[in-house]
Amino acid sequence: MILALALAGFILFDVGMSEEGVAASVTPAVVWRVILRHTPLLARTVPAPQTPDEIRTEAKFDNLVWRIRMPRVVGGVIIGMLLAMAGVAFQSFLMNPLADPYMVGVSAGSALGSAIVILLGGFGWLAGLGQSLAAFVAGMLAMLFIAGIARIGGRLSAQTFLLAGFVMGAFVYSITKLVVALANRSGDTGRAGAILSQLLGSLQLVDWRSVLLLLPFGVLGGILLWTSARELDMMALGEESAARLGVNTEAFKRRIIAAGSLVTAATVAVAGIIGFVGMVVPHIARRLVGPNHVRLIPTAMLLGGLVLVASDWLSRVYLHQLEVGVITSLFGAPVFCYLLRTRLAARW
Amino acid sequence: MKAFRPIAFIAVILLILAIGIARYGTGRFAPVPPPIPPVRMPDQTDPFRAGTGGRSTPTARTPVQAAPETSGVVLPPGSSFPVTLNDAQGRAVTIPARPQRIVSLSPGTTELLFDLDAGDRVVADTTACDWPAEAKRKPHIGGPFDMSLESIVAQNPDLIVADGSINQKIIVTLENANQPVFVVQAKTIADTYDTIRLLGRATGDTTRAEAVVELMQTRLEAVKKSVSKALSRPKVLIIHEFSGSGVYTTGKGSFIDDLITLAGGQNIAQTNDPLSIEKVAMEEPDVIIFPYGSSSEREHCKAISGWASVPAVRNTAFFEPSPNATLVRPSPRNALAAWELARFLHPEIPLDPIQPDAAAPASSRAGSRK
Repeated sequence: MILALALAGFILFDVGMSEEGVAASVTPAVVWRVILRHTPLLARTVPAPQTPDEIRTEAKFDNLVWRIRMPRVVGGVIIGMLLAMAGVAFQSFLMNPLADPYMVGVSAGSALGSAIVILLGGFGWLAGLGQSLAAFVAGMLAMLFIAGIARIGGRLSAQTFLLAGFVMGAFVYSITKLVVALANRSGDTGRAGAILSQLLGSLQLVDWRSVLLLLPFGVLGGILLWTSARELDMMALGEESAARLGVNTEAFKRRIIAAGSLVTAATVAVAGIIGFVGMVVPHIARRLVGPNHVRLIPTAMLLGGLVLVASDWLSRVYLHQLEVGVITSLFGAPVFCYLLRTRLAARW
Repeated sequence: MKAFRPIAFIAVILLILAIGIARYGTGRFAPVPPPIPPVRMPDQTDPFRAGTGGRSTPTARTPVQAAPETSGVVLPPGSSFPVTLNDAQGRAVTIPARPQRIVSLSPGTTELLFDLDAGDRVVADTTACDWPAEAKRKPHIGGPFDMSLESIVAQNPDLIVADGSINQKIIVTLENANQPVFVVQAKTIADTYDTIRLLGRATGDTTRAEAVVELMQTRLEAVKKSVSKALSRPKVLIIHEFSGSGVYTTGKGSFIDDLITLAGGQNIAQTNDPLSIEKVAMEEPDVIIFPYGSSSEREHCKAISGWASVPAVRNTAFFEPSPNATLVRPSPRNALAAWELARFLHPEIPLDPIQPDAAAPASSRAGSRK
């Protein structure tokens, strides 16, 4: 569809653009040359460097574009898709327009997990994998805890889930502040800053390894969600109606929560907390293609990828590496206000 | 719209409260003091300025006004009291008698006070003050960022030495409480010399201050001279910490940059803005300095896959000053850090061993190369 093409086009454009310090030598032509060299069929169309100087410079460009910039952009797309996906899932399942991965409390839990690992000085350990792992586990634990609170008489109540997520998020946030204060006092000055980076959300440190980590979640989560598209439609009518239509509501709820939380925890583990994408993108997508989940889910995913890559583009090229999470929040809130005022958010 | 009225009412009350607290929240119902325009220490670019070096004319026992345009610190002569000095923020501070109860609010100022033989007159410092060893054993008034007015006042100080770059909030509080606060601030190496002289005058020992400055200058000059034989200047990146914006570093206009240049390196950072991962990969520094010696930053460097080809990472050319030296606090120990850095950057150049401090009191000399 048009959106997919727009996304692909924007990605190509974004990859070509460099921040001002680097743009002089790393021109879009250079970038696309490197990318072509890495594509299996087209590699031969690109001339190879001849002199030792050229070889060295090309190697430098190759390193920069392929090992630093490409994973950042690709990672951004995937994260945007995952967040939008989780947003759609939580909003439909909770029947609440304010639901997003952050509101549900999972992001906060993941961030706390990372923060504790950083405080304990575990950064070097397992080369950062330990931190991602902790973020992931903490996010899942948070989700289990919230689901536990929300379980009334063996049934998972959607409203209680959201409230429990809210409270959990606030509580976890206060513990995270404690961790930051402790990190500030520890001898190693880098730690408080590292935790703060997590809370602000940034794509600076996304590399191919992170992308590899995200990919299975993207694929699994996407498949799970798309196959649940019809059931999500029915859940939107209300739980009793859905049950009458044959949906196994309890199992379905558990599946959706698990998928949404997994996906969110993975993004926080890699890039920190990036807010508002999960909340606002589903609404815009709904406005574009309507509430039918079969079309809504892919649209939201593409849109989410686009939004995040656009924010990262702004961050990288114009805003001196301002953290992406800050940009999405700054834009997300006014957009959401606009949607509210034009009553589009309420149209389910 | 009856629902609106109570909300509007509450909002207005909260607004008034907020304004009131902002205006008078310093604790006393006194008008907010006008902001003191920070008067930087006059800039000296050559540490070996021959000539006046800032001695005032013999007629002065009169209070001295800070004149930003003149170069050099103008101090009243001798070491007698009372004396009125202009601190780094242009504040005219009158010190009535030789200070006997000094409170130091930052690790940097504590170091300098001990260097000036005023250590035994320091009655309290911060929890972060770790040089020399005696400083750790003094009573503490909190950390550099979280100290309280009460703990300082409880020490009954006659001189409170603060660092303008980190103690700003407490300085304002202390002023409002009419406490004898004296602010120093050093951005360049030249500022460090001025600060030492100023503090020496404030604590009543200008001879010792001159000796400290001269020793520091001699050591730095020796390093600079040896390194001038070098054929190339390795590219250096100093990493304070990693963040979502990239790498926090220090650029031109700071003594850290001066030290790197003096030791024969070339700082790839022009300003203090964070450098992105891409930028560092483009600049390809030969050496990375970790001034705080933290292991997490080192590991992080090695974990960035895009930096594997950067010479500093490939050769693990990581520099960390020894515990007896410092690159980040303006202090005579910078000379040792410069010497160590020069040795690291230019192993091919034989450096003279660093000149020992013959005049240092035995306690601070023991077990440390100054």
